[in-house]
Amino acid sequence: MGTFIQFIVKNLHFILFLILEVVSINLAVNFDNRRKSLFLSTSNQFSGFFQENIQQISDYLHLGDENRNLVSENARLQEEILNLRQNILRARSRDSVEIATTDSLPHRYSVISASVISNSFSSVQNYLTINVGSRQGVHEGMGVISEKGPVGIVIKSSHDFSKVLSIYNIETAISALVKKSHALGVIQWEPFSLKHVIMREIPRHIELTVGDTVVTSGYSFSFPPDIPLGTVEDFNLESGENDYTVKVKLIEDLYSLSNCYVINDTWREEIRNTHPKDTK
Amino acid sequence: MTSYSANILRFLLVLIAQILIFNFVRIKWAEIPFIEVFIYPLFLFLLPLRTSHSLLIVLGFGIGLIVDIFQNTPGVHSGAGTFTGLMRPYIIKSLTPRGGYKVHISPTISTTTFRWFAIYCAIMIILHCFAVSLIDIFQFKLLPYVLLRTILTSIVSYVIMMIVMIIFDPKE
Repeated sequence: MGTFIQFIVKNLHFILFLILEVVSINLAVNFDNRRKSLFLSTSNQFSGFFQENIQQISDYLHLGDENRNLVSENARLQEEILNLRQNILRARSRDSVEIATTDSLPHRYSVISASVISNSFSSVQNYLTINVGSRQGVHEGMGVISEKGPVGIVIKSSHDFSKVLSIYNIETAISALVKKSHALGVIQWEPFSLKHVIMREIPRHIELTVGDTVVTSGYSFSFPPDIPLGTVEDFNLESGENDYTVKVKLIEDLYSLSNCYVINDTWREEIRNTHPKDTK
Repeated sequence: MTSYSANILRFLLVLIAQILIFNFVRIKWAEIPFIEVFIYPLFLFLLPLRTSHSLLIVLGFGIGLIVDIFQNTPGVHSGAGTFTGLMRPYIIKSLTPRGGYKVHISPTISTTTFRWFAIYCAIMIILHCFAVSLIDIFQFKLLPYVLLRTILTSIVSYVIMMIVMIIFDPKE
């Protein structure tokens, strides 16, 4: 017993090292998965508040870019409104069909605007923190988009901040569609290119061409259909495989992202209730 | 007593610099997104030589954990700090100059030689960045990225650290 205690005292530093290293690796490997606590991240109330104030200062440096983005986003929205108006008018002018007025049409999606207060790229599991939380109605599972395409999925929210699983995270999987051939696949990120993602699960009988547009499929509650994601840059069929591996070039990387929109699918509960079995 | 207050002050300054400035420095070079600047290990490098081995490890873990909270990377920097704390006495021992060390010093440029400190700092930062990349990426198939990230991050951090050391040149 005496020699055992002596051994421990002599090697105390090494035992301490082993314990702390196991704690750290455990945190790094297990902690950051979905549904884990917000305690050690910038999404908790304290460090979120801190980080937001720092970000406000650095926001001033990007005002010019930000203005240009907003102007182009406005233009796009304006165009969409005009087109939709046109559609409504056209629908109304058919004499026998009664069309509901725009006010009473049920809106499926509502949008909450947010700004990014921290964003990482260096790991294989990257996350964003945005400055809206459960108080603004943000909940787990909502999609986050920007004018550059999908950004990620909210995985946890505190009162005022939310942690978003970035599209640059090997755990993210987004259902997507090749627009021309309507081929359904899954988008995943492969480290470390910020310009590309990989699309899988497209069966081999489908014809693809380089340059096809890839959009979100809308088959999940996170993203509405038809949000452009990128274009097919390259695809190959490995021997013995039934699925294509498609390299998709993103419209733009999210390197300098500062504003984004959280999408709230108001039909979510209703659709879920019609499938009582899969409560996922 | 002054070495206590000097080290506590250094702990705070290094953390503030890391969290307020260097966490926001993102260098994007040739489509490689993962170059970062770490300045906080400087605190561990500059602890007095007589600091006990266990204390080094605990302090490494502690400062790493604080950095982790602000980088959304729980476990990564704390693990690396622990590792750096473990390795420091061995590195210092292997770099012993011919006359040995003065006992009560912190290893800085003015208490040792410039050459000694430059080598010491380089070895330590490479070890630290390697630990950060390894714990963060933790996939064997991505080993080339681990090495690339280690090299690039260490070079950038090393340059910044040496500039800071030359400008401030602490005596304690």
